[in-house]
Amino acid sequence: MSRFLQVALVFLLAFLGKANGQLVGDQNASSGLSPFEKAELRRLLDLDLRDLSRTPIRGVLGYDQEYWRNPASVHVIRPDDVSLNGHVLMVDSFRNVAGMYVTRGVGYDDFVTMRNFSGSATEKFLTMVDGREVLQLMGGTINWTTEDVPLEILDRVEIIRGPGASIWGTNAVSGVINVVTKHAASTQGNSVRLIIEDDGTFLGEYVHGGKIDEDSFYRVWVRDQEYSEGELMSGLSARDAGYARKAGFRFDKQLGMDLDLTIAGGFATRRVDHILDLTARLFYYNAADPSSPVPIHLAGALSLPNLPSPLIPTSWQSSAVPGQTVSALGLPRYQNYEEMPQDASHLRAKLSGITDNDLEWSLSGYAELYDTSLGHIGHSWEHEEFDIDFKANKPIGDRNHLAFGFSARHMSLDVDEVATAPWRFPVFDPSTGTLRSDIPILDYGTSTTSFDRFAGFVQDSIDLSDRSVLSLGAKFEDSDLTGSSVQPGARLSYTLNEQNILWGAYSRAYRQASLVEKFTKVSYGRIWNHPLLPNQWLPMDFEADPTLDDENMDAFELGWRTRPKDNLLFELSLYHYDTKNAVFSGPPIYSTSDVKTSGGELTFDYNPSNLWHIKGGYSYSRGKKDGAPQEDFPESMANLSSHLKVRDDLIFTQSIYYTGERTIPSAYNPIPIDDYLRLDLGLVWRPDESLEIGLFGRDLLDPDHVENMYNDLDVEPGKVKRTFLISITKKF
Amino acid sequence: MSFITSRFKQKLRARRSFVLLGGLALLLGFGLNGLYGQAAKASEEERRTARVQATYLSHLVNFTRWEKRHLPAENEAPKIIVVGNESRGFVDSLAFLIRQNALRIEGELVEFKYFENSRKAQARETLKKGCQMVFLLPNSSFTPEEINNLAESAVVFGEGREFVTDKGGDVSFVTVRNRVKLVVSEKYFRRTSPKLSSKLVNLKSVVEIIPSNGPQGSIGRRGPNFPSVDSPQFK
Repeated sequence: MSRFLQVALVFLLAFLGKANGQLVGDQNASSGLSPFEKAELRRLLDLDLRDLSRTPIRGVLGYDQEYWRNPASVHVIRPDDVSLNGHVLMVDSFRNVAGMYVTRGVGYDDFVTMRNFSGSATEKFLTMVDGREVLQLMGGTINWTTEDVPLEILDRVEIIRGPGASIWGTNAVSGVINVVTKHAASTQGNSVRLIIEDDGTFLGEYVHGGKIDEDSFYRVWVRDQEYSEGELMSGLSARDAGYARKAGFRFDKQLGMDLDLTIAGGFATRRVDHILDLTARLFYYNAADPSSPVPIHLAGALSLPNLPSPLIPTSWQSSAVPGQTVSALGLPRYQNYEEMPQDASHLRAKLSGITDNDLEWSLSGYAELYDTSLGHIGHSWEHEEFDIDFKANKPIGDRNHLAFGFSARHMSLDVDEVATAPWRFPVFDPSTGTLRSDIPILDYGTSTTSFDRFAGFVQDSIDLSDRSVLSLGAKFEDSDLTGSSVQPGARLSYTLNEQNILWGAYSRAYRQASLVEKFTKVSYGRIWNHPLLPNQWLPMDFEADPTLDDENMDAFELGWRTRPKDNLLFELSLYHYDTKNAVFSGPPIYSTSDVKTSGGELTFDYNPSNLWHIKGGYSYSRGKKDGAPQEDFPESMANLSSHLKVRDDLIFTQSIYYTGERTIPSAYNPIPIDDYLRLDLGLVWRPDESLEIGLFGRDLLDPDHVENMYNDLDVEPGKVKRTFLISITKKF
Repeated sequence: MSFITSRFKQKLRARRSFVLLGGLALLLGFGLNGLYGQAAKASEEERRTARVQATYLSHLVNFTRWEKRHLPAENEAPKIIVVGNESRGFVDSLAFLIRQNALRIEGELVEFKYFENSRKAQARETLKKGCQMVFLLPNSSFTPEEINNLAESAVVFGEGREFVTDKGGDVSFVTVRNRVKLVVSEKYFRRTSPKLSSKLVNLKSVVEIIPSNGPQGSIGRRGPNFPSVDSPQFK
């Protein structure tokens, strides 16, 4: 951390002297505007007339995220935050958001968690792209590559830290990520974006927008991302070469003065390989301590009695990695790579309008098809989903602003499991009393594959006075998966004076257990010499737990937002989460725990002059699982990014990120991740509005470091290497 | 849909809780409204309206073209003038935006002037010398007609639909459906100077065009869902 502060200080000192451009802050004005009002004026000035005409006069939480009186912790990412910081995908830019923990596994794996709710791959926040929930219910994860959009069509990403279940609904536990794309009228013409990294990774995007008539606009786009082969921590190949390709369209038609129709859709396909760690999956029964079986290799080395012959089944031997050992036990390394194809498509339609009596409403329908195969665990599923969603809000009287909505969802799955090649050796299945070679790792069995969900919410934002805004609401959900729940929330903001706002909130939020956690039997290993049948291999498994309750969380938040000047913003958010039944994935069982988490974020955003923009944040979080400190999430993180105009057409960018130490949990091989400091530098040349060329160096302080992996699936993390990239964006 | 036939025992209890909590939220909201409503000032909404209006005005400069005869001499700055009394921050907002944006008309930095009603004579003198945009606050002692007579180079802005339909103004801001929209006289984009860009005319969601011969005339068009002239929102 101290190194982060040192580097940050050097940047500040280096550029304080140079940033002698025209002051942005309105320091000499006689104005009666507060710093918040001035900052809002600057934001409004950036809107085009179409967006300006859609700016609500009376904002309401959940609709108008950037309103400075909102009693919530909100961070908004704009396209410039992606391109000027040398980020390739939207998810990379989350590294600049305090409280978000973004890591890379192998080349195509991005992990995102928020506010220390889970250090594993399971995201416990709600992510929506243009209103469409993108969480994959099977594994409770989000595929960030599949859900990413071309930068040209991205309007903004709103990140709301903290639970927002009363308006957003289930899974809005530790926060909400709301991705909003631009209206088709705002992407007219052609745009190409190319990014080439020195390791061969490539991203290409093409967007074309056109006009059918004065009220109708369309756009189509394609994207290709090619992953180059990376390297694992041990120096072995990460075998992560592959591609992700996407195409999409959007059609916007204005049916009336305040009546709009949007139809959009997309298709994504990804072809990569993934690994399953087989190193510690064959065991020898330990009579002294049945809960701690002995890895079969150790049993062999110790010449324990009644060993199998051969020690390692023939089908397993082909997965050996000669000369490689894993963990402190020095176990010979076994692994199995299989293809992991994913295809996803969706279609959405939205009709929205405002009635003459100020009722703003929208009716949306979504259809989604997701087809994926996790070849490494022999688990595949096809997922069909249909959603309909009605939302509305209306000012009532001078003080109240009511928001309400209803939604319904139908989802069905077609699940298929196979035993992958190494596992095809005879195993006695006690449930059938037969020898089998086809027991899959995950067995969804005959669990239900069709789920319906109904939800409704009501929220009232009340202007108690010029100083106070109170938001009260509750959401009701009834679901075949989780039953019925009510999720209430209350938020209050108080304007101390023109520069300072305090806010506080209490919310109760729920997160559904994933289908894997709830319905899937996991057969994660084989054991020999079990007293039940000493001369046969037996499966080591645990049953799914359909009675797993929703995780429920009581969240308390306090915030302070201050603008000493219109060009300087500080925000402090503090939180305490008390979570019951929190699910933690990984063998031997999906256990539930009581988790208490406390922490906070301190962020700032400063424009010392029209030449320099600097912003950053620090977050601290400490969690206890059943009373024991959690070590799978870094306690401290910090980020700082600076954009300095060295010429009218040239921007020098710097970003530094600090991430504290943590441990990747594992049943047999926990991997400590040291704290790391990342420094990115870039030069962005914008000779005119139609061309941008950026040169970036990333991770300049170290040749490589490791960040994350899927525990108990991956053997080891991939190296996140120093990279150099060039990005070119051309509009024509 | 499982909502009707849910197998979950807690459904009824949950639904009851929802109704109770939702009802409580509304009762509390309206109750607090009753308690605090009279003491509070409804100014934040007005101030935000003013900020949006000022932003519109800054944008409209870029959508307007003036012929040379309607621009100041070379050593003089083009002017935006606001006339009338106000307390909701419109003048401050516009002054801020002009300064921050280094607003220009035909390439020249804009000079901003504000005259309260008590300084009508000075305002008149300044207007006579020429200006490019004038915003008449609702309580201004000037009428659009007077401004047209004093400064034919100026686009005349005001508030309320009747400012354009009845009083001869060029552009007015109306607050409708919780949004600020523009009402624009057809003459503003038909005449040669100052002339509104046709790009803006096509933004149906933003602009209502009022025909030169009145709102019911045959020339021009109206947004299909725009509230009628008799709508209480315009009164």
